Amino acid sequence: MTALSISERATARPRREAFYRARTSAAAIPAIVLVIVMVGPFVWLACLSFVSEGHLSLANYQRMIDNPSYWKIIVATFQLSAIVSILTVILGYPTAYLIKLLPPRLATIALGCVLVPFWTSLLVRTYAWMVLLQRNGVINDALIALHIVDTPLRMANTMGAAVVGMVHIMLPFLILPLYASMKAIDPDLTRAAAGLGASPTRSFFQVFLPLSLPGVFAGMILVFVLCLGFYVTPQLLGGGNVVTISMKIQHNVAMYADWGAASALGVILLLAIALIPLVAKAMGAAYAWRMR
Amino acid sequence: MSNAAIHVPHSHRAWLYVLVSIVFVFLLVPIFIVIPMSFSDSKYLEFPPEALTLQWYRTFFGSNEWLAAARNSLSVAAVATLISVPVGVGAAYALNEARGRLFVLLRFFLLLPQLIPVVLAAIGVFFLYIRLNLVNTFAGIVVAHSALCIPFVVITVGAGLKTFDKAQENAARTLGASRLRAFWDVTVPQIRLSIIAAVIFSFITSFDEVVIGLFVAGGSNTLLTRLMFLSLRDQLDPVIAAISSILIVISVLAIAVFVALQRPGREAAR
Amino acid sequence: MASSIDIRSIAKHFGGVPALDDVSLSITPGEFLTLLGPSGSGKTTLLMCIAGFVQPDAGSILVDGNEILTLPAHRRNLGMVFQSYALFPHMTVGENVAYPLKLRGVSRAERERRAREALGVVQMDGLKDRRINQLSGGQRQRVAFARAVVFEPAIILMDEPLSALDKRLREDMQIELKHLHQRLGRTIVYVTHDQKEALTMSDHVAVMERGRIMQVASPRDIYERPTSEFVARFIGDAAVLPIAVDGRDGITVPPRLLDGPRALPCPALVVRPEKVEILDGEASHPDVIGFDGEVREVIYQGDTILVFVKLPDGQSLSLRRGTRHTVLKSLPARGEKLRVGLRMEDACVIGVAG
Repeated sequence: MTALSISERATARPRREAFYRARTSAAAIPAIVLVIVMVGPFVWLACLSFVSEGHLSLANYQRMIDNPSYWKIIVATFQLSAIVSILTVILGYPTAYLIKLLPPRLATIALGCVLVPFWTSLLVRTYAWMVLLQRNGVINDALIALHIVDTPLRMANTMGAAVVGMVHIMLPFLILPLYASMKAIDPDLTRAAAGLGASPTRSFFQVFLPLSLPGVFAGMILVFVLCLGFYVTPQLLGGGNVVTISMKIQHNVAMYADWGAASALGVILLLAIALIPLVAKAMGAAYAWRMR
Repeated sequence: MSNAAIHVPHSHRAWLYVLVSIVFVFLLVPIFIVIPMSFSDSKYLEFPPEALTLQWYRTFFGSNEWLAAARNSLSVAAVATLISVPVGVGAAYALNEARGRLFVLLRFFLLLPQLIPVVLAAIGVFFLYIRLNLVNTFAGIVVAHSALCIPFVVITVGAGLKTFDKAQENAARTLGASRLRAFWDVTVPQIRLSIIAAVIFSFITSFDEVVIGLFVAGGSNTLLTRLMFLSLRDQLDPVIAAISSILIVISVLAIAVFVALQRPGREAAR
Repeated sequence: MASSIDIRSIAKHFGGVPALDDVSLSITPGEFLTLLGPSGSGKTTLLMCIAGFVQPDAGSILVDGNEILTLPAHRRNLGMVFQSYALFPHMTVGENVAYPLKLRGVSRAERERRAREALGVVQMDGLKDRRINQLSGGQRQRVAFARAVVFEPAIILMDEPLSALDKRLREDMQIELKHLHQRLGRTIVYVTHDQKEALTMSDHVAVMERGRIMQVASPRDIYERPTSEFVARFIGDAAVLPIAVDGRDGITVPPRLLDGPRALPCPALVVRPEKVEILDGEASHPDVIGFDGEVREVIYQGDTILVFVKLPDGQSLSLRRGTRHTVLKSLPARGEKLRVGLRMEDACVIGVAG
C-alpha cells in the first residue's frame, strides 16, 4: 500500500472526521425516536390547537377567555402550586440544614429516610393520606381522643388534603438538591464570620442563609413546576373539590373528546412551565446583583 | 466535621430537632402505617387494628381482575426496562461524548419525557394511538413507558460514565478492540452499578406510572395502577391497603438489594 | 519487528486554536524518540494522532511507508502505555495482559504462555492472579508495559507513563524502560514534560512548543547545541546573553565564535552554569571568553552550589559547582568582584528575536 496523494488526503479527512463524530451521536438515535413518539404527538396537538374548522384561528383560546371557569382553574392551579412550594420550603429547609449538620453516619441514615418516600409508589403515598385523613381515620380518632375536637373534621376531599399530600410528595424533591447545594457552601465562610465575632445566629442569617438562597430558589422552582402539572394526588385527595389544569385537560379529552380545548389548555400549561424558570432566573440574577 | 468551628449547644438547636423530627414523622409514618392497617378487619382500616385479618390479601389474590392487572403491570415494566436500558445506555454514551451546543440540545431532548407534564404526553400519545389503533395494546403501553424511563437511564448511566476513565476504553482500542467491543468488555463492567440502578429505576418508573395508563391501558391490558386509581376515585377499597403494603415491601427490598450490591463493588474498588 | 514512522505536515485545530501546526518528523525503526514540551505544546495531541484517537485536519502518518490515518485505532497495531496506566480494574493482572491476545483469537493455552512470558520480561510473573488495585504504582507501570508489548506491536507509544510515580521510583523505571527498549528493539514514541527523563532515555528528543517541533536531536546535542532560545531555556539552566554586533548592546565575544555556516541576525550566547569557570586573575586566554562580574548571591543546594554573577551591563549568569570541601573553601562571597570564563568549545551561539 502506498501513501495517498496530498489532494486526496486533504478532501477525504474532514469528511471522515464528521462521519466519525456522527457515528458516536448515532448511539442516541433509538432514544430520540422513542422520545419523539412520546412527545411528538403533543407538539402536533399543540399545533392543532391553533386550527379551528379547517383554518388557522385562536377560537380555542378565545373560548377560554370567554369562559371564566377556565380562568378560575388556571388561577387555582397556580395558587395550589404556590402554597405547596412555600410549605415545602418551610419544612424542607430546616431538614436539609440539620442533615448537613449531622455527623456523616447519621446524615446517611437521615438521607435514607428522605429516599424511602422517593422510592415508594406515588399512588401508595396518596392512598396512605386518603386513609389517614378519612372521616374515621387515624387523625380524626387521635384528635377526638385528645379532646381537641368533638366531632370528626372533614379533611378528606378538600384543598387542604391535596396540599398535605402534595407537600409529602414534593419534600424529597426539595430536600435532596438543597442538601447538595448546602454541602457545597464553603464551611470556611461561616468559620470566618465566627472568627470575626459574629454570633452563630448572626453568621447564619448574614452568611449561610444568603449563600443557600440560590439552592432554595432552584428547589422551589422545581417543586412549583412539578406541582403545576400534577394530576394524581390533587385528583384523589381533592376529591373533585380541587380542579387543576391537568385534571381539566384529562376531563376534556376523556369525557368530551374536546381535543381543541384540552390542547389549548396544555399549551398554556407548557408555556407557564417553560417561562417560570426564566422568570426565576432573572429574579435570581437581580438578587445576586443586589448582594454585590 | 464541617461545623466543628462554630459550636452551638444542642439545647439551642432544640427547636430545629423538634421541627425536623416532625418532618421525618410526616415523611415516613404515612407510608409505614399502611402496613399494619392492611391487616385490620375493619372496612375503614383502623389503627391500631382491633382484630387482625388477612382478608384483604385474600381478596387481592382471589381476584382475577386484580391479578391480571398486576401481571400486566409487571410484564409492561419488564419489557419497558428491557427496551429503555440499552436504548438509554446508548444515549448516555452519545451524550457523554457530545460537546457544546450538541450536548445542550441532546440533553434537553433526552430529558424531555420527564420535563413535560405527563398529562400532556399522555393525551398526545392517546391522540396518536387512536390513529394507529394502538390504544389498549401491550405494544403501545410499552413504547410510551419506555420513553418515560429514558431520562432516568440517561441520568444514572451518565453519572457512571462521568466518573469512568475514558483512557480505559482507548486502552482497549489500542489493544485491538473495536469501539463496540471496548465498550462491552471494558466500560460496561465498570459502570455496571449505574446500569443496575438504571434497571431498578426504569422498572419502578414504569410500574408506578399512572396517567399514561389511564388513557392508553384499558381493556385486557389494564395496569395495576390504573385499576387502583379508578377504584380510589370512587371509594377507599381496603384491598388497596394490601396491595400498597406489598408495593412498599417491594420498594424497601429493592433499595436493600441495591445497597447490598453496592457494598462489594466499593470494597473491590479500593 | 520494529517499524519506521514518517509524520508529514500534520495539522490539527481545536475550535480554531492550532494544536499542531505543520508538524513533520521521521522516526527510524527501533528508535526511542521522546516528544518533550511544556503542557499545551501539542506533544500529547501528536501522540493521539498516531494512536488514532485524534484525527488530524491535514497531513499524513506513514508506518513502514503505509498510511495509518485511514485505519481506526484498533487496527493500527500499536502498543500504548497511558498516563493513568488504564489497567482494567475488573480483570486480574494476567487477564489484563492476555486481553489483547484474546481479541486476536489466540487460544487459551497460548494466551497464558505469552502473558506469562510478557510478565516475566517486566519481572511480574509471580503476580498474575492479583487484582489491579492490589498493585503499587511501579507494579502497575510494569503490567501496563507488559500488556502493551504482549501482542508484539512494532511500535510502542507511551504517554507520560512515569509522571504518577515518586522521584526515586521514576528514576529507577527510566533505566528499566531504557533496558527494555534495548532488549525488545521496538520503536518507542515517548511523551514527557520532564527534560531529565527525556535526556536519560531517548535516542532522539523532539522539543515541541505551541504545536510546532522546535528541534530534533540526540540528547547531547539538544543540551549542548540548542538552536533556539526556547530549547536552551527549556532544557536545563541557561543564561542567554545577547552578543554586541551591528551596534547592538550586549557582551563582546571573539569574532571567530560568530563565524558559522550562516550569519545569525541577532546572535546570543548560551551559558550553562556547570560550564562556567572562575578565572584566577590570569591573563586572558585566547580559547576562553571572559566576563567581569560581581557575586549577587550564593545558594547552597546540597549536591551543588549555585553562584549568581551580575555582569557590568546588568545581565546576569550563574555558575554551578559540586560541593567538595576544596571548592566551597575557594568560592567567592556575596558582593565580591570576580572574573569568570567560558571555553570556546563549550560556547553555543543561537539566534534570538531582535
